[in-house]
Amino acid sequence: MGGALRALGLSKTYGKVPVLNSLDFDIPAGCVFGLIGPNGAGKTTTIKIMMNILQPTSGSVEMFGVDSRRLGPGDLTQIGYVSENQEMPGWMTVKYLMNYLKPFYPGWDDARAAELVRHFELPLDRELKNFSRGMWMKAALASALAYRPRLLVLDEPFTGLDPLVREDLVNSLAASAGETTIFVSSHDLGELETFATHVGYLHAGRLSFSEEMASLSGRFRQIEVTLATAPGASAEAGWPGEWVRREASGNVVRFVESKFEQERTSNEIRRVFGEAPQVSIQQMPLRAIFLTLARHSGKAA
Amino acid sequence: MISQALHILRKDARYLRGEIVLVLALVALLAYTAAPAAELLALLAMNYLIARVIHAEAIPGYNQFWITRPYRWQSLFGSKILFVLLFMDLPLLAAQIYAIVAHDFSLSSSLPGLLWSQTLYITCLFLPVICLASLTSGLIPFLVTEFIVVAEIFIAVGVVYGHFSWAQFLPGAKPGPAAVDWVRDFFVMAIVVESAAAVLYSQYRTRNSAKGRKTAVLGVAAAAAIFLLLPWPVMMSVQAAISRESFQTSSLKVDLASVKYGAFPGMGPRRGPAPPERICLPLRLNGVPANREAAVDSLSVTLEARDGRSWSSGVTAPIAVESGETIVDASLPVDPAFLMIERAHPLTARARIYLTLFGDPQSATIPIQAGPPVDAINGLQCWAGLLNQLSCRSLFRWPGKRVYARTREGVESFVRTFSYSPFPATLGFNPVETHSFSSGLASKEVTITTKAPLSHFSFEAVLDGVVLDDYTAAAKMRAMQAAPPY
Repeated sequence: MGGALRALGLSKTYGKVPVLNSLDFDIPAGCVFGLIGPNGAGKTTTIKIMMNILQPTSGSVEMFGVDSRRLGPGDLTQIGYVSENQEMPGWMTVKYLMNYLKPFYPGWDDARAAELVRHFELPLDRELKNFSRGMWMKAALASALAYRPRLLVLDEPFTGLDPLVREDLVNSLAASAGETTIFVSSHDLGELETFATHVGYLHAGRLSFSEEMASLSGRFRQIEVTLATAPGASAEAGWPGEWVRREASGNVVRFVESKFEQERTSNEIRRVFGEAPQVSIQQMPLRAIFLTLARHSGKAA
Repeated sequence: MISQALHILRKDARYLRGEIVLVLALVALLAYTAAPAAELLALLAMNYLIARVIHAEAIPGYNQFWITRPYRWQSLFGSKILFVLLFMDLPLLAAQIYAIVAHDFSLSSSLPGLLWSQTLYITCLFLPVICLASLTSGLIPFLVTEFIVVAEIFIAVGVVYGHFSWAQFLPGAKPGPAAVDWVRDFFVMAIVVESAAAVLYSQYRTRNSAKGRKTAVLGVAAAAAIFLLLPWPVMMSVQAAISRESFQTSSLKVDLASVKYGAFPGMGPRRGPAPPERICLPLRLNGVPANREAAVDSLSVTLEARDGRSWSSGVTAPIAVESGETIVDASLPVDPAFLMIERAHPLTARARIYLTLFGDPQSATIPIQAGPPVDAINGLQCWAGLLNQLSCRSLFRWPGKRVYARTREGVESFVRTFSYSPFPATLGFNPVETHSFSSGLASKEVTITTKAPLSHFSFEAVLDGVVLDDYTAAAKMRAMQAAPPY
């Protein structure tokens, strides 16, 4: 698979405030890339630069080989964009919106548009301004998927939606994955985990990592070690740097291993705590990994 | 590209159908009544409609629906221009054609005026409003900015017409002949139109609103600078450069007529402190060819003393004197300190005189009545008004000529205010311009004569031995007692 999205040294400052700091990523075509990070990390700025809504201060981002600053109408016929902040012409009905957008997109698929409208249970003759937030987001997504875009860019699409609507959206996105590369920023890690194939963690304008979801899930473990006696205050000095969110309570030590490999991690535990301690190793959901990273990054900062 | 523009246009027409109906109704009202209130309402409604249609795809901002959709900028801009042409310019054109037909003017001879007025609407009226709308993201910022711009225009106009004493130092605030106002207005509008076009190109092509706003501010500043700082002599020079005929000024001579011809404006009974003493120099112009009529548009006078001291009036409006000769009164508010020292000494007066020669007369004698207007010449229609005064109307603008009315009894009068502008229309929604003559009608027939401005030029006259004391109000009183002037 060729690269769908590639950022090279992407930086953005507002006045003197840096928001993105030399961001690099390379996202393969056909994947679902989830961009996560705390508020103010620069997720929306990254997406707005990708969509040529904002100009980078330096560096560049390419969409299917086209510099975002040179995105023209021809390129936009193959890109869908849905954002929680995006304005929509509230006076239009869903039917009018779909009919209005159709001539803009050579790849518009009437059957798919009808199917999306049916699937999302969108009332055709009601004006968008009378829609609930969930219905509004569904209409936006339907209007972005009806032309089978090669790339779909979603900025916080699940914010403020009830679980049923979220599931509807996730199912639709999951169904489109593969033929469409999806780039999604979200705080809703539970939803993201169900369909993202890749994930990147953005913190203070820097991408801490960008990797496949399976790899990420594989390398983070919550580990609990029960010792015979409580560890001394100076014991932490010899602990590996990959062990983060370390805490001790009596003779129980808990930490998150951020580079888990069964054999290497077991050896390290033996080296630090000695033989035959009681060790519990648990997989972590994306949400727990995110919290770990966010708090660890905060402390490090 | 065109199909996309038409597609967006259809969407806008549907979206704004209520507002379109309102504009059409107001234009129809304007065509039917020609009332100034209808003109104002139509103008306001059109402003509102332009803002709404541009803001349907607002340029500034980051969250608009359309900016991540495959709009071609040319199609978007084209659709907005088409919208303005279709729902504002075309109705105005229809209203003007209705007015032409309703007033029994010839449609074919009105064609240049029709075309030029449409050009003015698009470039000088709609384009700046479209530009302003493209720089704002919503109705409130648009209205606030427009209010500020309109207020600035009112202030600038007040300065130029001398309503603000604090701005008298500005070159544009010096009084000059209204006939050449069009030169200043032309330069100002050229800058406004060029700036608006540059802003619109930049806004629709790159959506760089910060740059667009800077360009707009620079454009407004440049237009204001021209409006306030362009000196009248420059405007007169431009007018001279496009004269139909050249004229050898060496044949012209100027001398001083009797102080009896001094007008001494504002010297009558008045309340409050006495104004500074004025000196009136009645300048008599000799050497004007017999087939030409001279009109002094403006003049400036510099008084030079033997010791090198001098005082200059700047460009000032002369007062024409009815005398059978070409005499104009230069009424000078001479600096009191200069006057006190030099009033009894012979001085040298250097007068720069800006002159227009009229000729090429055309006449038509028409029956005049209180009923329907009668066709005269140069597109004029004339009738007797309610107070039996002669009134005439013309399409799109008053002819750029002196228009005289002479009755069989020999009473002659003319319309003083007109423009030397070479353009066939002015910027106004009502295409009919009406003027009344100063004298009442005594007969049932009137001869309308027009004389075209053929040459505009300036020349300097040097008058030696001028003693200011001989040209004061007191000197005039003495001369009047000795012998009446006429």
